[in-house]
Amino acid sequence: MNGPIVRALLRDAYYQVVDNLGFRILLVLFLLPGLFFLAVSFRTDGIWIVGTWQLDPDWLSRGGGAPPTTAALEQRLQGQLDGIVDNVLLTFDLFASVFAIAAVSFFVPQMLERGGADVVFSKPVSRLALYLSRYVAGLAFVSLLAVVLIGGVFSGLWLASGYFQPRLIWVIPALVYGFASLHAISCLFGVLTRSSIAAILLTVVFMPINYGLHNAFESRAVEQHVAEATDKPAPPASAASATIAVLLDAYHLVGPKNGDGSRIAKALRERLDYVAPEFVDDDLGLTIAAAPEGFQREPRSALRQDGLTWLAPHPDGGGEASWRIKVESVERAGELTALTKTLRKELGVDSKPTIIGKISGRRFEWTEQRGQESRLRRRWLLQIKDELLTIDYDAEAAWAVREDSERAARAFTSSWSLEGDAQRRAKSASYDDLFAWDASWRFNSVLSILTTLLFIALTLALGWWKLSRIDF
Amino acid sequence: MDRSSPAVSVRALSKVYGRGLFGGGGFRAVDELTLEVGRGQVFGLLGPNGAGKTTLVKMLLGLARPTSGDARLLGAPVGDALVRRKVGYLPEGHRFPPYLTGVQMLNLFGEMCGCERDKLARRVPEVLELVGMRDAAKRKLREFSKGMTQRMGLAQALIHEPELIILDEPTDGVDPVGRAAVRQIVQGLKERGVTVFINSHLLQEVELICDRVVIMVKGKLVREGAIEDLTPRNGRYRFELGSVPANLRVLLGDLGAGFEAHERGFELQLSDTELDRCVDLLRTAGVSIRGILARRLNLEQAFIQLVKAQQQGGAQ
Repeated sequence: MNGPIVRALLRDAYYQVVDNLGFRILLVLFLLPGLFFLAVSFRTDGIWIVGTWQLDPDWLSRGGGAPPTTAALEQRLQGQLDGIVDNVLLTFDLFASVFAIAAVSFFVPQMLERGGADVVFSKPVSRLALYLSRYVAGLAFVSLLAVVLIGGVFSGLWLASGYFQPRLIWVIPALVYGFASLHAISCLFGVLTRSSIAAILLTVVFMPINYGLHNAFESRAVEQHVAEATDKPAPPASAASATIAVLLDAYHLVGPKNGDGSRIAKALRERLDYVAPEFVDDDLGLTIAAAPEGFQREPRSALRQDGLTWLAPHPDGGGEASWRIKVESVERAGELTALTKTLRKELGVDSKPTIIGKISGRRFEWTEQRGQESRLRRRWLLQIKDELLTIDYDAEAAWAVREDSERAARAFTSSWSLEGDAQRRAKSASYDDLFAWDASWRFNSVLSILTTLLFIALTLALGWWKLSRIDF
Repeated sequence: MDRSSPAVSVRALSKVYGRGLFGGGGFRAVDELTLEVGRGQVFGLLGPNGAGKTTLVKMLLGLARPTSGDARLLGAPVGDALVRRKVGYLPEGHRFPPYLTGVQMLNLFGEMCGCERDKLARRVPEVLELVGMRDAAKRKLREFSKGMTQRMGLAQALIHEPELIILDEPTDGVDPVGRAAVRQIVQGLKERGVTVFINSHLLQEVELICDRVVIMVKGKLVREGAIEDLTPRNGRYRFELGSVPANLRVLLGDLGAGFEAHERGFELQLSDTELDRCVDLLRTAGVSIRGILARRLNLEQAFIQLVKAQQQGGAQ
């Protein structure tokens, strides 16, 4: 196939797409989120309509407690916008899949209609090329819509809310990827039935069946993961359920995993944003994203010895400020409850409940005199199964209560992710959490991509084989 | 590609539809057909409905696979993509992409036939002018009438300057002026040495256009030849006289049958002997004979006679 033929087929695909009424309607609908984010600004000082009407100045500050710092508001804003964007994209992903299938399923049957087929298939172009051109037309259809949707949302958020997120671009290939396997199926149904209505109906019926089978597989895969992680033997399965399990495994391997598109996009988005964390401990499920502002980690300090330590020189020439995190066995350090009681007696202050990551514990705060200096001390006690995690903060009191010092301390503790031990992590894990590039085959994203691409290739090959045997 | 080879060459070609699992049964649409069309000819393929004409055309264009036999276009096997670049085709009952304009369709099909843009920039206006569609070429094809679509169909068959053009019912839905234009286009193609293969029910058109005709019945070739060979004399003669005598009918007596007078003479069904006698009678009576025209069956009459004979033969 030479250049003019490829160009002709691509241009034909483009003409077919832009002439499609369904495409035009979807195009207008897909412009709406972008226009919405352009018209509505989400800022730390409220929600603004067209930059003029302030709707809700306190939308990020609700929930009681002391007024949050600017940094905390910005962090909340980021979180809120992430949530809003994810919901918008999820809705449109589902919407786009169903409507795009309805809009493009006629591409192949129309090409095979009596009269139309005679013209096209008598040209010196292979049937494979013509078939693939209809497939590419469908992908172009969704790609254009995805560019409009994501480009609109990205530009709207950037221009109106100052939320610049190039990682959103990953959603475009994810939407196309999710659609690619469905469209391959619709092309195959188009060749087999040579009817637009049948191709649409069969594809729309296939979508929930495929989703349901993968969903069943995913639930079972997570259950198995928990059972393996917690060393709980699985209850004996009946022959029927064992057969169903094998069939689900087989279908998951063979079938198109178009739903993984959004998971892969999320993984890619995270990879784009990825910054190596300051510290990771897999046994505790502990990740500390960044060092406390102005502090340096002691190179020789260790979590399970004297404790991981960060030090900062005192700005006013006094003693150093320090953060120290230490892990000891409960056997050696004592149970959390007993330790809390002892500390309460020793210090003469009550503890407060605290949660770091997914682990709850107790928090003490007191001041002590050290020479001429008044020191602010904070201590967090968290028990993770048979290990006790102690976090100590020690700084000159006047310096520690300054707004910038407090903000830096809060930012540090809120950058922690503490999931707990492996068994605990396994119990609360979802398929989304376990889905990763280096996971076992049930959760492996590379396998998911490869098997889905193989499914697409085989489906297209089957469609082409059938097409090559048609006598027009 | 061998330029001395015929434009179309078919040897013992058969197509059976709906064969059973082991190759038995089925409907034999084309049955051991052998024919040849020389280069530069205007060739007509005739036959009643179900004769297998369209199946033959579709096999020639790779739209249907032959069950057995061999078919070649311009010396190459019919499945060859390169040879199809040299073939233009106007199918019957065609449907062109409704989302394209006339110009877009010509560019699309031209490029599909391997034409570069420069060539198309020259060819598209030329072809549009030729088929009389220049003014409507920027409208979407879905807005075209049947006749306009037919003209565009002819244009797309010509866009890449093919060496062989296969036209299936080319004047279907075209008004009389358009039909004359189609005939003129075909004549122009013939003058340029292009082979034209016409499959049509409009026998008058075929009679006017074609050099050679093949008649198919039930998948078989039953007659082949030039138009003159297929349209024999029917024994009727038209006499042009210098002046028509008042007693003409009395003069001829009971000679011949089916007498019909006309302004400058008469028509009569005569045997060869009666023709001699008729001339003698007229000359003896001093009537001046300006011309005698032996009437022939027209193609339609010949075709109907032949098909009826074949069907009766088949029934017996």
